[in-house]
Amino acid sequence: MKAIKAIIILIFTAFASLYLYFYAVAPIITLNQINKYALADSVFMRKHPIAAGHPNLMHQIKEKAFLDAQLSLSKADSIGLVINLKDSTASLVLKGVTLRRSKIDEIKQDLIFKGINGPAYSKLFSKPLVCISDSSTVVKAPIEYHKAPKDTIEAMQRMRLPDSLVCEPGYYSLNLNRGIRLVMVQSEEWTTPEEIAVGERFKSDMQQQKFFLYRIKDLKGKETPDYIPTIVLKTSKYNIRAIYRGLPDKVSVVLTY
Amino acid sequence: MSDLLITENENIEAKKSCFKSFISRPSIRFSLIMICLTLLVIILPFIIQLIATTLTARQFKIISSSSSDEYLANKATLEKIILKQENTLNDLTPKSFYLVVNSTDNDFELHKGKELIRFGKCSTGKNELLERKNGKKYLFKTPKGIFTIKLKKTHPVWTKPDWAFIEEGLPVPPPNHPDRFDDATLGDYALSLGDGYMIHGTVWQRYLGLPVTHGCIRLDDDDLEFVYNSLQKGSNVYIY
Repeated sequence: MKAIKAIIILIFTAFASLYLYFYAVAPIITLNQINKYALADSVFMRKHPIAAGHPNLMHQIKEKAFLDAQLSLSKADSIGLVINLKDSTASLVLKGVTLRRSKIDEIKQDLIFKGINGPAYSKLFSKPLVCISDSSTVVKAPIEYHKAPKDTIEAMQRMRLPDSLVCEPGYYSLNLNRGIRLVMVQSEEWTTPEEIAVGERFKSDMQQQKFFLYRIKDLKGKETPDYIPTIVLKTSKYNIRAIYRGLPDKVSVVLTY
Repeated sequence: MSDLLITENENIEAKKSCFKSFISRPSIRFSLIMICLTLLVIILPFIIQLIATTLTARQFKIISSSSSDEYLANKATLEKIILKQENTLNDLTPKSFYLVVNSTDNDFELHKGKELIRFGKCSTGKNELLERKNGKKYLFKTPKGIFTIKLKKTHPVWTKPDWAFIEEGLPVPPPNHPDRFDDATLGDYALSLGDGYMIHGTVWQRYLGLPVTHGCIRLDDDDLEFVYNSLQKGSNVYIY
């Protein structure tokens, strides 16, 4: 009996240590890396002395970074995404003009965002974040292919109206440069079979990053486990569709919180 | 009555002692401890992260603490910069009328500065690729981005391109053939965006709100008149 207990305690300790390593140590390591990232950059620190020295000015530092990034985005010729977590909005912006402002119903933000210091915040968010890879359940350009009809009868037979009420399940995930992940997921209940399947995919995607066993598998050959600071936004699937289709292939994102 | 109470008390006591003896079993006690430890391990990362983030912020405050005069001076500088940037950003929004078209939901917004003047349904490109027998392809899609009004026309006449005949299964007439000219389809007004794309009226008003066009933007008669009178040559049209 004592031997069984000892084995159980041993296994528990091993799992508990790994668990704490993944879920407590990895985020802290990432946070330290982010915070050192700006402080170690002497050129940046010389260029932005105000951002460096005044932690009490965090509100102003954030405001300035947000405006800097928006002004930088306005120089681009393509539509960009502006996420403002303070007022819970996601906007499509082109040349400084807001084309669409969508309400975010729910925000889930990793805790480490709160620990980012002024210089790191300035360095991370003063310029638009660029999307490295993305995935979505929404069809980007729903192009239908047709062969030209032979005659008027065939043309008449082919005539049909698109169903404007049909909307795909809403899920949009963006891996941004500077190591941040942004996920937009529909706030509506998952009701249709397609939506339930997407809901499962969303959970699985989240688990790939969060779930313990995936993380152990992922650790092979690495010194520290991967940890990607993630922000999950819940909004209507109609908003996700309009945002995703409105954005170009190379997405620029301005973020403030 | 008192007998009944005694029996009830005895029952409670018996249950308590039974529970105590259950708990005091080594295997049960061990399992309970393990469950408590598991719960603690699950909660612990959040507590550690919370402490770490708080400490990081605090540590930075200590490193970079400055005098109140310096703090106030820097605050004033930052606020001055922010105000300037806000003005620069606000100046990017046209002061005059501009149109925003949503090609996903097929609606439009007419703005003047930051103010929304009119909202309504429209029709945009049907996202169709039509292929001819000879392999030539036509894409019916509304382009996205920023455009300007190039030309304004009243009582516009539509010069039908080849695809208008191909799509209906009709033979393509030669250029300048009378069948090419249609003065009813575009409505009373048309605003050209260049490259053959226009904002115009429609005889198929019941299709407004649906993606049914060949790339142009169709509005209903009242909206079209209002938009036509509001937008000038050079006004911006944003399509997303």
